Amino acid sequence: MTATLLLLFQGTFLAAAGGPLLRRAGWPQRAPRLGIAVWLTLSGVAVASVLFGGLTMTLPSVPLTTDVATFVHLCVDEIRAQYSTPAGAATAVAGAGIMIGVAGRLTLCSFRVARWRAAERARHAVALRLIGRREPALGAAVIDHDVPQAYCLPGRGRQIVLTTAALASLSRPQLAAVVAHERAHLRSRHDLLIAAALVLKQAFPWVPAFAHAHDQVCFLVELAADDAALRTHDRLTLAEGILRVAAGRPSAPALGAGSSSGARVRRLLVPRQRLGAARGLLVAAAVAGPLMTMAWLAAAPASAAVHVVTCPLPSAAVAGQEPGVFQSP
Amino acid sequence: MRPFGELEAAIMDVVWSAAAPITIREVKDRLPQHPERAYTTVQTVVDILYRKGWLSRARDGKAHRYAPSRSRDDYTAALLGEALTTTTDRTGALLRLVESMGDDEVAALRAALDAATTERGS
Repeated sequence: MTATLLLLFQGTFLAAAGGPLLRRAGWPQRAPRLGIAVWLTLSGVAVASVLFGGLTMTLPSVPLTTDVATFVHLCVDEIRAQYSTPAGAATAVAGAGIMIGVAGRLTLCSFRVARWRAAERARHAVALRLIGRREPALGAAVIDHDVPQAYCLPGRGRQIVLTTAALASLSRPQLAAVVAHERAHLRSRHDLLIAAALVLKQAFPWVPAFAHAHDQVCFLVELAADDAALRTHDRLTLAEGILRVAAGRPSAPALGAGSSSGARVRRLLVPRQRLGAARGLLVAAAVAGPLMTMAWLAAAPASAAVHVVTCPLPSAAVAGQEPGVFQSP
Repeated sequence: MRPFGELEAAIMDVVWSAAAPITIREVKDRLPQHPERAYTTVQTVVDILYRKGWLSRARDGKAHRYAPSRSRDDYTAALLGEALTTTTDRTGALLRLVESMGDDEVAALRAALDAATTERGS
């Protein structure tokens, strides 16, 4: 029971308090990859905590024993005890409901997101093949178009796409920096990180933390790709490249506070600030905490699950026995 | 579908650059001569493009005449319009270099970038 409460509390706490706290933190901008890892790990732990919490409700905690006779007795007795009282049965049903609900939503939304992405990519790839032309020297496909645009199509048949207007408005070094940014997206499979965050957001739309996680991952993968490009290119060159592509667009309505792309350009204007090792460790410890707690609390239900699986047909035993056989001490 | 990828693109090029709707025979004649394509191959791929909605056709005597459903520019605009929207890259289906910005934001960033460049240059 304690494990159940702790797990459910941890899941709720991470979603309710962890999300807003992390969203206000400034350090992810300095260490975007760590930021992505923290967002996705904490989101995953929050969901898994609730899932395991449900599991602990359905299973009686049976101590493991090596004595087979005791084991069988305990097994049947415990399960009987759990399911014979209305409260025990109700708890078990609620736990099963939580588990099925969470796992079901996750599975459904994973399939939905995967199908969606595959369809979009396939449609785009077909059109691109007919309209674009390969430029092997550039390592990109080029489309005749008078609006500058640069993007990449990840996954199988991955490629970088540039419009002729983008080529015209960028100098050689700027173009190289932009291509390095896109290549970093493809190489690090940033699309999968975004998709993972999207699955959680879609599966549990009533949890604001997952919407924030998705937002932040979308933003942080851009910073990570910028940082990767900075390993071989100058920061002001990259900033210039990004700004020139943005400036050639038909103007968008003013969005008020400023776009996240604007924040990226501003970040490139000052020398790169890295996260110190001490603070990095602190962050890692903050993530490891909930992870370990979950692992520890889940160990009990996990062993109980093994127990029930190895349990010699408890339902058959209970159903097949004469009533009262196990009731006498 | 894969093996015809290149031929699909070549056929669309021919149809797009044709002044009027053309027959399969004409498509075949205007394709690059090597590799030499069999008439039936061209016919198959034209049919694929028709079924995908890229080509439209009208009967002319015994043969069909084919025309592009939309101009190349229309397709390009549609394709890139898609690449420009926020919804597609939020699924990770594709990742854009930069999202749309307001004019005032671009101007502010331009000023800041110029300042940073001169500062470093000096």
